[in-house]
Amino acid sequence: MLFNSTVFLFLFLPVTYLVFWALPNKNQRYLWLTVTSYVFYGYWNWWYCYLMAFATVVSYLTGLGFLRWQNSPRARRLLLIVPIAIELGLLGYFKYTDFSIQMLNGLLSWQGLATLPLPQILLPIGISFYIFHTITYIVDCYLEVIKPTRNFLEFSCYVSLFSQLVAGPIVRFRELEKDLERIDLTSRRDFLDRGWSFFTIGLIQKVVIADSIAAVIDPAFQNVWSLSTASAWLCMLGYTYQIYFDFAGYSNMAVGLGLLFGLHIPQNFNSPYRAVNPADFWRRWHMTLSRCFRDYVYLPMIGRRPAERRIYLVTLVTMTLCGLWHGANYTFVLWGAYHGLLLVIYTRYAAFWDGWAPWLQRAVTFFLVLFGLVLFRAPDYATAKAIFARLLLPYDGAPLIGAGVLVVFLILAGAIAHFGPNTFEMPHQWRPLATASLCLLFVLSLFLIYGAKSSPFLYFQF
Amino acid sequence: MDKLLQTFATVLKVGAASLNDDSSPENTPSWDSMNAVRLVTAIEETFGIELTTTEILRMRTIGMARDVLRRKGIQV
Repeated sequence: MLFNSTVFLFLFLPVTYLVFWALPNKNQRYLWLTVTSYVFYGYWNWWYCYLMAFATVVSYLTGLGFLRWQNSPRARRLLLIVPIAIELGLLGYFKYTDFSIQMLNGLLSWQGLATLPLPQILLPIGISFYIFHTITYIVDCYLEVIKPTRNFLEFSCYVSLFSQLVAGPIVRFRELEKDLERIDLTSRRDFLDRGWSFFTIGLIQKVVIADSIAAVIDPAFQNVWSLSTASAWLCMLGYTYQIYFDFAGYSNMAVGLGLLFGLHIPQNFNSPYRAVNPADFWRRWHMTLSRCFRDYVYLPMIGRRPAERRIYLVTLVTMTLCGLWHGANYTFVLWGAYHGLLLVIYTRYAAFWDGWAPWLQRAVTFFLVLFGLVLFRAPDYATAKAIFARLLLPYDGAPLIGAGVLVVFLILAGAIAHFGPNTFEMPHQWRPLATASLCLLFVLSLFLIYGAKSSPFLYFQF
Repeated sequence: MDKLLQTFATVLKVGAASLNDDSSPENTPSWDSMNAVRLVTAIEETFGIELTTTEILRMRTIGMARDVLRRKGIQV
């Protein structure tokens, strides 16, 4: 079920919301949110629910194990390694089996040997996100950063929560624990205005801005070989704003939905296109994922008092894995490695970079991100190469259909992304003009949803 | 002045008054991955200790870092 679908907006959300606030106690609310979240998830494919339930039970029992064997280092190490191996095994099987066989086939055909058939395993939507939720829970229990919960309903509510289930933000148990503990004490009206405002702004960002840009650039990306240099630049600028408004829009909707149920989902985007260097960009872009990679991948690998070379190597490895997490395709791996390289270069030459004028730092960072997104958007190396060629060399081509509309949306999107406040910087208070504008744009979004097939969010594929 | 807070303030290049036990990478912009590495070195040098990987990973907030040091018998 998509947030930007009529079934979600007019049936699922109102029913879930009204019943939730009618339930008087904590466990009933946990149970209701869990059941509705499974319905939300099962709407794509019921089979997916069994997988999520399995991952939930494994990590919940692991938490209980940490409580049971608190004083046995050997048992604790096993409780860390075995469940994580199971969870990563699930992720590996469903997400990376085909990719691994493709890589192997490449080697086999290079050696002139027969290739293996691809099993073409169906990727359960959002698996990368909820597996990260359960793994972070296990590691945090091991590190004693959190105390494992004994309440299975609370835990299953945390893992399956529909607002963050399929495309994040990646919320660690510690970040939601306090809200979950007092889920029966929150008043419905406490966060209603703010929740509705976040959700509406997210919906507008997705439906009005991201989808409008996509309507022009998606057909053009179908045949990048026919693009002129100007069209290639327009398309890549369009994609750079589309992915931001698509994913930030989704994240804002998730934050808003959380607030409607008294839960504070953390900020995921902090105006990333205002970043002044690559490190600053990763502090602002998909913030919850960056923190996970820092805390669970980078820091464990870095060790004590690392030499400069080790820091660079670990940065490269972490960002390459971050790319691989995004998708089972070597274009994503290259995208991650590219960002790792940018971080290394920035770290090495920070004194020189930081001496530039702020506007220049922002512009250079933005265009470096745009170039990286070529790898993110292209389905294969040949397409990426063709786009890079058209961005950097003069090419003639067919005119871009809808270029005028695209330019209007690029100006609007650019103004908001580079100069406007982000959703967390807005007041979200009842003011007649702002509220009327939001209502108007909300209705416009509904018309757009009604008039067109709901388009999935870009990050659903991960 | 709280010695631990001062260590964090020096590495993160912020005023000690702006930090407290709830300060974390989530609410302190300069507490990035590079400074997380520098913090470990600074804490080890300031308090004359060696931190294990598990202890390093536990230090998600200043309060948690304080807890790690207290478990090692350091009064902070």
